[in-house]
Amino acid sequence: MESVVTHAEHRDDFGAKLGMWIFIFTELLLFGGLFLVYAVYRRLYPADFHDAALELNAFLGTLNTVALLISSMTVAMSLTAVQKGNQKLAARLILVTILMGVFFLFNKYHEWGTEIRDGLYPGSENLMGQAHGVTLFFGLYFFMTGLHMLHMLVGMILLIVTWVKIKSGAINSERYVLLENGSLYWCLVDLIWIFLFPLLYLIP
Amino acid sequence: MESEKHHITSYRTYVLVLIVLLLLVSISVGVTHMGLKTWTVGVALLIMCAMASIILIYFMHLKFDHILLKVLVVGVFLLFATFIGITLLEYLTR
Repeated sequence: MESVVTHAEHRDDFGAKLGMWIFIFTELLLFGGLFLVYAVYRRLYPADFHDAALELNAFLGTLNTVALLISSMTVAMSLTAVQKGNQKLAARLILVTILMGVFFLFNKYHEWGTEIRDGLYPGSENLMGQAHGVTLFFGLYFFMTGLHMLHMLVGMILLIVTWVKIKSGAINSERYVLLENGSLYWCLVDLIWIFLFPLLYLIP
Repeated sequence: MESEKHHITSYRTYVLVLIVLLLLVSISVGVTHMGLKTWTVGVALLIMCAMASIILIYFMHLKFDHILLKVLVVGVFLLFATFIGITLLEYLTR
């Protein structure tokens, strides 16, 4: 165990991954607080939350959930491809992941556009005139999905960097911790959406 | 330092996991329209937790990760769930 090995560079893949996980834990706290706020207001205004959720496009919400699940699979698969030495396939899988992200954001843009046109954005006259619970729901909806979208943008930038590094060979079957961490972050974005989707779109 | 042997997950496993996840999504969408009333939230939460666990185990590779990471992630998630649970319990039974 205690053998001396000279390293040309300092490299600690386990440490890098541990750092990523600790960062993920902080994200958990960030969204956890929002989920608590959501739970309290939903308990206070169950009927308003139900009415407000009906205004959302559940079809697009479901479509986006499917898109994110597929993207999580492709990003995880790209790791297998890199480990097997198939750089070309790995790059393609990352590209599919990014495209799924673009698809998600495009749908969200469409959704937000429709809602804003209908005067359902926070602070609008229409929303201020509605029941208190409806106003709160849409405030939470825009904040939570907005924060989630911000995470998606960051994730996509990270994936673009990963894609370039796979292309250049900086990520290869010998060193791929950046891809692992990028994949972890992207899956976290998916994980958060899995909780957001039923809570915002599927209120009976 | 000896380089650890890394487990390579097969493409097939990923596809199977995705199919299971998609099935769970369709169940959670279906449940909303079944009129279970108050039970719907419980069922939805259960399905969400199942999906999250599957993603953590397979897509985030916890299944074949270092034991320290496994313990840490499971521990922190349980701790997090406990705190959310206690907070909600206190509020909902007020």
